[in-house]
Amino acid sequence: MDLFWQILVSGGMLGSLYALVGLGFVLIYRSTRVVNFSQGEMLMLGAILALYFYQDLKLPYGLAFVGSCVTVGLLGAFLERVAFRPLQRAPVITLILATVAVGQMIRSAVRIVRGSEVSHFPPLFPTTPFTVGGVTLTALTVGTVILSIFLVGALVLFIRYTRIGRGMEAAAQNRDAATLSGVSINQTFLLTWAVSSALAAAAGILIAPLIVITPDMGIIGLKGFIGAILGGFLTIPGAIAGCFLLGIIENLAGYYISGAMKDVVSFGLLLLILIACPQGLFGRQEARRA
Amino acid sequence: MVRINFKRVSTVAVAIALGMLAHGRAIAQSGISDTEIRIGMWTPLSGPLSLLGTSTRDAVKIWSDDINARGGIHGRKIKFIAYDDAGSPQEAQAAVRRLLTQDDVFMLLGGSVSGSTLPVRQVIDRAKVPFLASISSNINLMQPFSRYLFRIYANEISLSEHLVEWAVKDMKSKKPAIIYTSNDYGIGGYNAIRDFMRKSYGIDFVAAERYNPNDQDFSAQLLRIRSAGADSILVFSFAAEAGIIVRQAKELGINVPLFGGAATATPLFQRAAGDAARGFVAVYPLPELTETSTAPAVLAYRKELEKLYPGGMPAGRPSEYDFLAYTAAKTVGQALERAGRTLDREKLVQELEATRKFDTGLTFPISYTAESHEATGRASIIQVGDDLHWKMIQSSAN
Amino acid sequence: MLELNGVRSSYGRIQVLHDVSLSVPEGKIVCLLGANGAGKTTTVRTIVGLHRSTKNDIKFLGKPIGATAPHKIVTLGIAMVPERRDVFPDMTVADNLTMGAYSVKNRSQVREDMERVHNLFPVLAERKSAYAGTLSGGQQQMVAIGRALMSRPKLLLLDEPTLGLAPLLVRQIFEALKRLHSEGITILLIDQNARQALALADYAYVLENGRVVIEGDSGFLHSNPDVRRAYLGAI
Repeated sequence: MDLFWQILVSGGMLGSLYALVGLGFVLIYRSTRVVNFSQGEMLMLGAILALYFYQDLKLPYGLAFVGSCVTVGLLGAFLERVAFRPLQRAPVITLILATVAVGQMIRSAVRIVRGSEVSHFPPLFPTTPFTVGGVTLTALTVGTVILSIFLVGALVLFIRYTRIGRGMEAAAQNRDAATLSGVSINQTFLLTWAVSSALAAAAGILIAPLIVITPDMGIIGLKGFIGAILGGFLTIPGAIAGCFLLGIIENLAGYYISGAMKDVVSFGLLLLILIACPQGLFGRQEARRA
Repeated sequence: MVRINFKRVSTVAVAIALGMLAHGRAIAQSGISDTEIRIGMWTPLSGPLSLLGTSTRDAVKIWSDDINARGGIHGRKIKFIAYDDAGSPQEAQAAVRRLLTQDDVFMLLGGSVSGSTLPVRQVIDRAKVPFLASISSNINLMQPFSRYLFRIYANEISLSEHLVEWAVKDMKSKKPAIIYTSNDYGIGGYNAIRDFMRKSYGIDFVAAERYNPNDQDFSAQLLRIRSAGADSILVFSFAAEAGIIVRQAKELGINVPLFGGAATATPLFQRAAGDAARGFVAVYPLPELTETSTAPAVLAYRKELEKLYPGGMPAGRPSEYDFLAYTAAKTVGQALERAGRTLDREKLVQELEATRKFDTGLTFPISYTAESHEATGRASIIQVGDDLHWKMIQSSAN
Repeated sequence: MLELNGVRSSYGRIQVLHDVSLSVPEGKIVCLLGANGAGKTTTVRTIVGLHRSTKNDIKFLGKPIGATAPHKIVTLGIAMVPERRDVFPDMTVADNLTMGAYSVKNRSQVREDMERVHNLFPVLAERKSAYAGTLSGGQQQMVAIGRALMSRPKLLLLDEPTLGLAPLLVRQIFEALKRLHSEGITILLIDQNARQALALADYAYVLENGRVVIEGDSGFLHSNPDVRRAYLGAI
């Protein structure tokens, strides 16, 4: 039984990180109908920049964290302005391909600069394991989960309670009505890209001490995407729940079935869920749009 | 009565014959001219495995530049052609086909990781183009025996046998577990180790856990290993993944000794594992540590490599793939020297098979015979010290 | 108050509006009649900048607004209720209304206006925590009108506010418009129900294929045989 809890906890931890990336996908998708496949590269870039600020420039961790998120956020805004806004009227598939292209460019650029260098982000909190009720934890994993839940919460509050956040939400739900209420769609999209990219960067920085930093670490971002779909791609709480669920299912399948079957089982489940309820587990009917 | 349209049959026959001729011609050219010998390579120059490929390419380039600067071998200069396969089997196949047909290379050197070398093995064997492998340690590369395939270092079975001997015999592990990646390298390694352990020590793994390439969370597998009560864990993965596995194992409170296959025996491992790397033991295919060795041959190679990178040495270089590929190139060099001016592929094979205890000082000495194209069975055991650097703890005598 | 002077507009290469000129005098209710596809919706969308016109000679209170960014229009005092009950479906009724006051900085004004909207449509006060997407069509229309009112507009544009609504609700909406008008809001109304619209309006324009073909006092239009035949169902 202890083991069952251990699996739930490990899976939930993974899920909280998926949620951070997943939300970035959802934010951009909701307002622009674009699945931003460069999200994983933003994550990778966030981790690499933070490592650079922290280890090479010797900045304090907090500053390195914020600095990296801001830089990646600005990059996201820049990309929206130069790459995606000009394509606004293009078919969505073109835009999605553009995000794939941007992601590849970032990945290749990083590989040229860093080579195939592998690095490890020094853990912020101690990694000595301790046991609570039969569940092995470390300060690092607990701290990471708390930080990522805090960030997800901060984002939800930002959207719920700030004027800009309301504008973002309104533009995502109904572009015309938002414009007529005085929301600038261009500014909002710019901001959405910035916030989503910064979120991905934050996810990257938090994940980094748990995995390794390579130009390919962004692959984990795909899990956030899948989790978000699982939860119904359109609502933020749904996406969060979906990501947690994915993390837990992966670990349950990995333990009780087989490690190699982990993906088969979780992707199979994803397919089943999508067949049974195409809106995702926690999704609503997609809103009618003018 | 069966009426046969002889005209049509003969047309088809001629077409087939022509096709065969064209095909034969395409791959049975000499690969040499009066002034050059074309040597081809396909290897991962980009992607996560690019360290292996760039090391291999650079080593051969250093060797061929050196040969050419001295006027070549028996009047022929080396023309070195390297293609990137990014570690992908599909791209490897395309690259090899191009090397054999379009570029008409005399021989192939280095090669790619097992997953991108095994699929082209048969093509190379059929084309009768000699290939000296310096990256793949997969046993199936040399099985069944081919007259044209050679390897420069101990295969995975020899390497794993050294590792198992260390874990089971020297460290007295009774309940070993293994975690391995589901590709040719991981699965091949797992099968070899399992069979050897059963045969030599009558022990089975208490848990054998597999994961998929690109996985970044291993807690489910590690928990299964923990539940099985393993007293040691063999990690049969690439260095970056092994780093995460080792860290996650410690974070789950798993404190048994951890051992790694040859792919983990690189400084990349510590960079991925961080502090959790301490005490990790790995089997290592060379007698000298690339990072710290002060052997004259190592120093000389490092100096040559620095010339290729005046802006500073890339991380992790020189790697053992530098040394292996350089030795492979020199092994080819000495065989070509002996072969003389009149040269063909059969003659190169004969001279390679005549190589006895050829020692570059970078790897274990190389010996081939007509029956064995495995250069050596020797390996070392190394361990990550408290300063997070690899330390040599045992260098095998045989 | 609002002057359109030869406005032209097109979707791609297809011209939809050819020289539309109309004016909405302050304090009046003007209605825009016409068949489907005549260009009514394009006209109002062009006024608020949601649709970019090729020739945009539009004046509001004497100032040209043709080049104003669409999200700035609301700050000038023009609010629009788009067709098809355009609400924020995943926001509560209260949040929908608050969104309407997005450009209003004064918090107490927002509270006051919320009161006014609740007064106008009491049902919105009852359902204020409900998600707008779950409301009935008539209630959604009230949310959309209420949201437009939250910016304290001088001019209110309504695009088919009663389309598809039950007669009782239609009456309710029209009552509300009458009340707003009596409070001094100028209204430009598009409505399918010409009889009802003409009864409410002071002046009307009839659009056909992107051109104004008839205009006049509602009384005049009501008695115009062409209009009667085409839009009032009389023979």
